Amino acid sequence: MLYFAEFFFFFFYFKMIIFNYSYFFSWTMMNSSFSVTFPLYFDFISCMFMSMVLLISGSIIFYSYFYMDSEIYKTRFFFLMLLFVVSMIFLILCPNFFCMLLGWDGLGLISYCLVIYYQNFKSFSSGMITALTNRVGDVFILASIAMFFSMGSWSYMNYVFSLNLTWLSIFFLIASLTKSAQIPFSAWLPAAMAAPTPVSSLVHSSTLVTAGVYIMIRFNYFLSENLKFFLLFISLLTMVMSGISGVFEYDLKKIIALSTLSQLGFMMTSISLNLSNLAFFHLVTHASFKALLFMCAGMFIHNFFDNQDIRFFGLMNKNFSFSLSMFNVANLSLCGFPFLSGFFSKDLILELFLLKKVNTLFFVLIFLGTFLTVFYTFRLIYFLSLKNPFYYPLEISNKKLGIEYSMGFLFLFSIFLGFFGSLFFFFPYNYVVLPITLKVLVLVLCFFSIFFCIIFSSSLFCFNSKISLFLGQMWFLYFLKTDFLKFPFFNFSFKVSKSLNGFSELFFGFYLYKYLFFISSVSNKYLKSLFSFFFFMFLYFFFVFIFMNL
Amino acid sequence: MLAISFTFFVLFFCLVMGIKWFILLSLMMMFYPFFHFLNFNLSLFSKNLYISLDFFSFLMIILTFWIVFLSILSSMNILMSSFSKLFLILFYFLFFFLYMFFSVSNFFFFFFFFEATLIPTLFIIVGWGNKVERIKSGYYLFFYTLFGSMPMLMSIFFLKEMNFSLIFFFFNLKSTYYLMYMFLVISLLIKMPMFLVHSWLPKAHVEAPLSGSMILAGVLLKMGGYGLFRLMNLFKKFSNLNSIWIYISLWGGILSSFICLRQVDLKSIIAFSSVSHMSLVIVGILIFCYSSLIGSLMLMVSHGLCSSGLFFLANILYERSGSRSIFLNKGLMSMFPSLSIWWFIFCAFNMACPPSLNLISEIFLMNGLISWSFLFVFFLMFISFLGGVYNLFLFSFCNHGSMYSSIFFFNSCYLIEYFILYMHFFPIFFFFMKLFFFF
Repeated sequence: MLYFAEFFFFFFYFKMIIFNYSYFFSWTMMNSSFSVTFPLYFDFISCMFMSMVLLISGSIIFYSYFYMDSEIYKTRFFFLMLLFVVSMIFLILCPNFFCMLLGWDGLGLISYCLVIYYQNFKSFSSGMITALTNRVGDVFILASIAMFFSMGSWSYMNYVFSLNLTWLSIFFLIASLTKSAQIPFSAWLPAAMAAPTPVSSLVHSSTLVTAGVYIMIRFNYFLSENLKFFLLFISLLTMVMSGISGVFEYDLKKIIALSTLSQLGFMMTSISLNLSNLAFFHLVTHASFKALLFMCAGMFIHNFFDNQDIRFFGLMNKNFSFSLSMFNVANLSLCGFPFLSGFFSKDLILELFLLKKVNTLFFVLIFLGTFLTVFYTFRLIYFLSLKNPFYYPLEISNKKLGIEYSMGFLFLFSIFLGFFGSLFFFFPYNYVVLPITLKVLVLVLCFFSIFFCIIFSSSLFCFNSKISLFLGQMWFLYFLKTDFLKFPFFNFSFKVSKSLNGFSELFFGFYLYKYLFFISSVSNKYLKSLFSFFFFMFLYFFFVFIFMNL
Repeated sequence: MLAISFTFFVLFFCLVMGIKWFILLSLMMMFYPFFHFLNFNLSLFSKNLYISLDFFSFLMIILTFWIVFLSILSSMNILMSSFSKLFLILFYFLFFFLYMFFSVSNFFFFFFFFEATLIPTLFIIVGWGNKVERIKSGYYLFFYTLFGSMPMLMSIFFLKEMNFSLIFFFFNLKSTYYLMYMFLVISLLIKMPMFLVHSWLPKAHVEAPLSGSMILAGVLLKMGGYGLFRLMNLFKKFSNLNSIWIYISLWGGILSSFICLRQVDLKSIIAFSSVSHMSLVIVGILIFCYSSLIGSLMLMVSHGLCSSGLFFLANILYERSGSRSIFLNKGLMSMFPSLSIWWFIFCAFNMACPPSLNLISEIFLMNGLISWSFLFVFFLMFISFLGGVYNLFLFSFCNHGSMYSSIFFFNSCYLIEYFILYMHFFPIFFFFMKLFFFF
């Protein structure tokens, strides 16, 4: 059914791109000085993205039918996946902040449920990081909704020409940074790998992390030039940081997650250079090959007895020749190998970057990022297919038949999508004039990278120092997320709950209670024995008379 | 209105004549839908000397009805015991007092029913609580409220002298009497509860039986907010003093959210979360902005339903495992998979996620507060974020992980428990869909 819906949207997409149509449906709930509407917006961006999401989610549900075969609560898993896709659909189709929040919060919460799907402590803590980082974005969106409220409408189409959006655009930028895991918030993305592999495939290809990029594509006219400069800096740093961490990482899923992070940085870069259409193109192609990459990785992990360390893999071409070829195609497409689908978007963005006026730092950073992308891609290829494994397993566990069929569509898409996409609607960007040195710069860089990779990949084992710790742990962002923030916050809340709460209780409640009891017990004691009562009365009247006489 | 008051006498008559509780309950339920035919708006009172309803009190009465049904239904083991009639009589008295509290127009009767609700609440907590500490928590509940209410009585007399009338919509003071204002507002804020005078609430919640804490969180906390709304005419003159309460409750919302993070008792977590939500209500009412007023009204309704549902969920665990500690109640997701869905829904609704009334109310409150000061956005964002944190903690501590190993057997959930949970969930969702109800 998801496949069917996918073709429906794909057909729509062609119609819209050829005739340049866009449809807008709106359901008015309430109309006074403030209008609450539920709009649906179909243009080529939303239709293309919808078709991609539905294709990938259909494939992944087909795939997880095999992958989650021995799971007891299968129904919960599939319902969560479907809810995830539904909230992504809300996010894509509604050009309204409020309805978008429906999908936005839904994505955050259901991704939390999916990350803590396995019931161990590691998935618990990583789910908490994921959910809380997304909650930051939710809160910022909530605040910006409340601000738009006083401007008259939640539909963002009404604000295309408005200029006074300073705080709003900052809030939106921060929200999208949390969702797409840019640099201060990027620790949750590798942590979310605790989810089952079909989930991380869905999360990383087209749904959760691209939601932030998607709203930035939609709202790119909100950003002022200063904010774009800031975004460019942040995204380039993210790209380099995740590339370096990917080089030092040995977990298969984490390497792919970090590659997603670097590609997200790349998309954000192209948004901040006013190339939001190209960013969208890269988003779509990236979605297809990243989903494929994760599905293949999940299959390897599943068949290698749940081993995720790439040092234990090797010589896949003997046993998994077809799925390894799919994996490698997706990998090459990721690093922009010529004429695979990643090439068309990535190369275009790089060349248009060279056409822009940017400073040297950004120039260095983006090409360092590209260099690192090629580096970790070929490192994966080297470890998985060229290197001998540490051990030869006596038996590879039985491959499920049909699991490759679920990847077939994505395989085709990750080869051809870039070519057809660039044919159909990106021809105005194809006019690039560059000197020959800059034109071949990317190619030379890639060859250098492959060369370095083959030299260093085997020797990076012994490169074990504080520097490597710094680079491998995402520039200590991981510590910043957990320990750095956890201890002060929890200490503070401990102090509050001990001192302030106890103080207020003592001051307002307990002393009252205590002294009331004290006074009543004292008077009770003295009134019980009649002697002391009369003695007390005598003294009292005695003094009274004395003072009266005075 | 007379007819509805008459029904109560019928109900009490039935109770005294020894008719079973479920017939009484069904009688009440039969009268409930007639409320929905009434239609009010926020500004107009129906003209009557003693009883007047507007939209605010109308919603609160509906909420009272709803929570009372559910809390009677949920305390099944008390109803089956030998003291069921006493319990029911107390509950109907509480219901009657609340109903009258939300509908009277005279300030003195308002005060009278405000105090009268204390007695059945105290009896319910002290009579059907679980531990010995319930006596102390009963003291706390009683004396905190009485501490505020005696000065309030004095200021009512003073108001009668100055204003010549105690009917709410004739309040019109020429000059400002600060002491009177302080006395009036303090007693309402203790009932809310505002942050520094909140410590009766967690104690009362922890020691109360399920039905007591449900009605405490659901309706009794809303009495303070209702009173603040009623006396808004009076408080307008004192907007410079109102800012004191606004600042205290904003910081208190943050700090009580922090306190939530370090609680180990399920009921205590929910109680502190209601402190932080009620602080938002205080702020929303006291800045005198229409949208934030609507927002705090919505938050009162939604929080009443949501926290009542959370207390019910906590009690389900308490009945199974015999403990309310979050360290012992673990791993529900593998034992009660369909119950953990309800946990998730209620925790998500409590942290203001769509589709719930809490979200809309938070947006309205934020919008109102921005008009007061832009800096409030950051406070509210922080409160909202911390709300997300403690609700996720609550959900995941109970539902994730492995089961406590010394629990050997327990029965699974009854159908009526799912029914009650659904009945808590449905209005929150329904009001989200029917937003124009509030305008």
